[in-house]
Amino acid sequence: MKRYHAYTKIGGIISAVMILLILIAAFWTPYDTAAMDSSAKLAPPSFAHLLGTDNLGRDILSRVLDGAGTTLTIAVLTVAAGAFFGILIGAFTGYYGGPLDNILMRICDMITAFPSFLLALVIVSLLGSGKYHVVLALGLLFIPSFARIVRGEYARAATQAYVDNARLMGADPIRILFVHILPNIRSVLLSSIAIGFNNAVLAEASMSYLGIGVQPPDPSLGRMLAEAQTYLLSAPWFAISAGSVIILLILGFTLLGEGLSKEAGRNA
Amino acid sequence: MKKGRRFTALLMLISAVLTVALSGCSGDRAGTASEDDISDTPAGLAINVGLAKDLDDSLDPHKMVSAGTKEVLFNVFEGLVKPDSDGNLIPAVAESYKVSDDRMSYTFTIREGIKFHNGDEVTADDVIYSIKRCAGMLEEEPEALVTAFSAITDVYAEDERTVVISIESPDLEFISYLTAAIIPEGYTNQTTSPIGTGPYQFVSRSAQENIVLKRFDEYWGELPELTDVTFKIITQDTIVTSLRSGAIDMCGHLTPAQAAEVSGQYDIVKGGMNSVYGVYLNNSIEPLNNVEVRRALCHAISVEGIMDLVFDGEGTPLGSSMYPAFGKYFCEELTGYYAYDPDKAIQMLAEAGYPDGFDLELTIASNITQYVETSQVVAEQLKAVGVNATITLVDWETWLSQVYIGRDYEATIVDFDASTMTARALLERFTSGYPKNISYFADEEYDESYAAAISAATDEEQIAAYKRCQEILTEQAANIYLMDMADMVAIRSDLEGYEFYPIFVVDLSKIHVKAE
Repeated sequence: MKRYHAYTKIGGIISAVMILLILIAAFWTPYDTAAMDSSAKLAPPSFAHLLGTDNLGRDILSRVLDGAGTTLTIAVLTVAAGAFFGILIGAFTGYYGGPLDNILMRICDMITAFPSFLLALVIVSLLGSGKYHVVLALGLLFIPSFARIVRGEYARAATQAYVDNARLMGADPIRILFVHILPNIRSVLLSSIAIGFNNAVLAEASMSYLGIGVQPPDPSLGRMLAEAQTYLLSAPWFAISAGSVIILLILGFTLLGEGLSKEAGRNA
Repeated sequence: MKKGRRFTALLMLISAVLTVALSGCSGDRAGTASEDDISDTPAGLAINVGLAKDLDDSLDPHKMVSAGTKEVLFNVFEGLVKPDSDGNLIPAVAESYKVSDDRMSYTFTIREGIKFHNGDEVTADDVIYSIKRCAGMLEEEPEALVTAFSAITDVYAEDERTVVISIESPDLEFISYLTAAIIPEGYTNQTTSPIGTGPYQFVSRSAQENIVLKRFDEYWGELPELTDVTFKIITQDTIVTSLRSGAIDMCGHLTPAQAAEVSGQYDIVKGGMNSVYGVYLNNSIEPLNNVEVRRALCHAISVEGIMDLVFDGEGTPLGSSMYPAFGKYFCEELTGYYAYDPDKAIQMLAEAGYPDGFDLELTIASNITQYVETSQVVAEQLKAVGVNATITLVDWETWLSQVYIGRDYEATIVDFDASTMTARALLERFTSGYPKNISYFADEEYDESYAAAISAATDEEQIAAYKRCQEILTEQAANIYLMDMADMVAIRSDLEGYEFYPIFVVDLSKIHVKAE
């Protein structure tokens, strides 16, 4: 039986619980996330509102879960886009090398050379704010880091015996790239996906905090933080709820990623 | 490699925690500069004023658009006359003026020895230049910057200290427009380094960060107590934390909730915002070009609901484009013209051909908390009658260029102030030919009534015509008029003297240290 690293277990449990809660919230929340109640503004946590209410009398629990769902969706889409194109670019450039490798990697250098947030701001101000534009902006920014990591792994793999064997057996290059090599670099890939995921959660929260990400009335963790800071002392549950959910989301996936890479190291 | 990963993980955690912990710390960048100011002038009284509004790029007093710019520059510039806090006009650059019997010619005597901030004396030429510039009578400014000034037929100097302005027909409100800033002739740097005659002179400006003023010691009037004032541009989200930390000593336009947060530490002065807060509708697009649809929307909005949720019940509901500080022009009976009745709204929408409602985009300036919060309440109330309202937040510059100047939008939430103490300042914007008529409101009777008000010979006629204008705006549901917001000002508890004006300004010259 395979033994899991402690990090994997703890991270897995936190992530599973968070995802379960978010999935439930996608179909059912204790209150409508947009329903306002002028008689219960900034109410402290109680049995009626487990995490209290915000400045417009909306239930914070419903809003953080819904907001976490939005954040999670954006992070998953962003990482998926970044990883997909990153793997594609990294695989070809790493395996074949040559001038194309040079050109693509220099383009990646150019994108990385820009402060990433600035670039996201430019994209959002060109296209307008909103959920899917955030995915586009962040996804584009994530491609180079994935491409670079994957390229390194492919370049190393290209010289290894099992790849030579496959080549001599006349395997199709596409098959070599994605059936032979890809599974062998999964540990590196998984941990960079975990890190990328965390970066995406933070980046989305920051963009929404600055008002260029998710638009109200859609709840978003970053926006909630921005709204909550006025009431930091009189209604601390507002900021703490939104902040804690961000921390839990990131903690879970960080531990999971860390654990997975440790296991890969042990098995190798 | 492994260690690196663990370090990355740790960094992630720290940054997540910091996001929470530091969220209150933005907006304090100019802190050190102001401390230097204090040490340089030990005898002076320096304060930092929070300004949760973006300023215009240009500081030209004849071309400013944003309320924030007007607030700041009120202290730097003066016209021939200027308003006091009761809405009366008092002499400023002119020490006195006479109106001819036919009320078509105004004679101003320039105050003796009055100086610009650059030390030059104000001459009749400067006054003529300033008036001509606003009237579009100069070659470099062919457009009238103040529309009321297009009535000017002649401006000339009778002698070194006397200027005569002639207009084509009598206009009861003309004198109110002579609050337009007097600027030195031929000075070309007004946009970046403004020079006027006010109690404060411009020192420096750092875009989106601060604007620094200092007392003009050669001011003609009583010298103010505050010697150095730094307006710090902050965001609405950070008003409370900026006040708490002492980064700013005073800040206007707090929401009642924000005021409650700081009320122990600061004195709170309460007044009316003196602006018309409303949901402004683009009357030129489907389905808002249908008056029945607009009326239905008015019935769908509960002003009381907005006041309770966003403003803790504070504010004065309005029914048309006028606020109570205008006294004689204000029509109180229009308030509540459209009672809150969602069922009726649904029925009216169905009769107008929209039984399933429609989509409506609210374009909102994101830097004003009141707008953003109100928009969410409005969106909820509209959803209740089947109108699917979405909110698009844009920054202030985008709002100005897209909504205010470009007029390319469906609906927006904003408050309009009057730049002068005239009903014209609030009602002209809905005449059909006005370039900043953001509602695209076009009504023949309105235009006639407005024209009648402008050319009225007596006060009574003018009041009646202006009241008719307001009635038409309400009957035609040009926009959804909400309220005159409550304006809360937080001021350091050892200071006093903040005065509310019927127009949107902050008068620094009246603020002083409390007597023991």
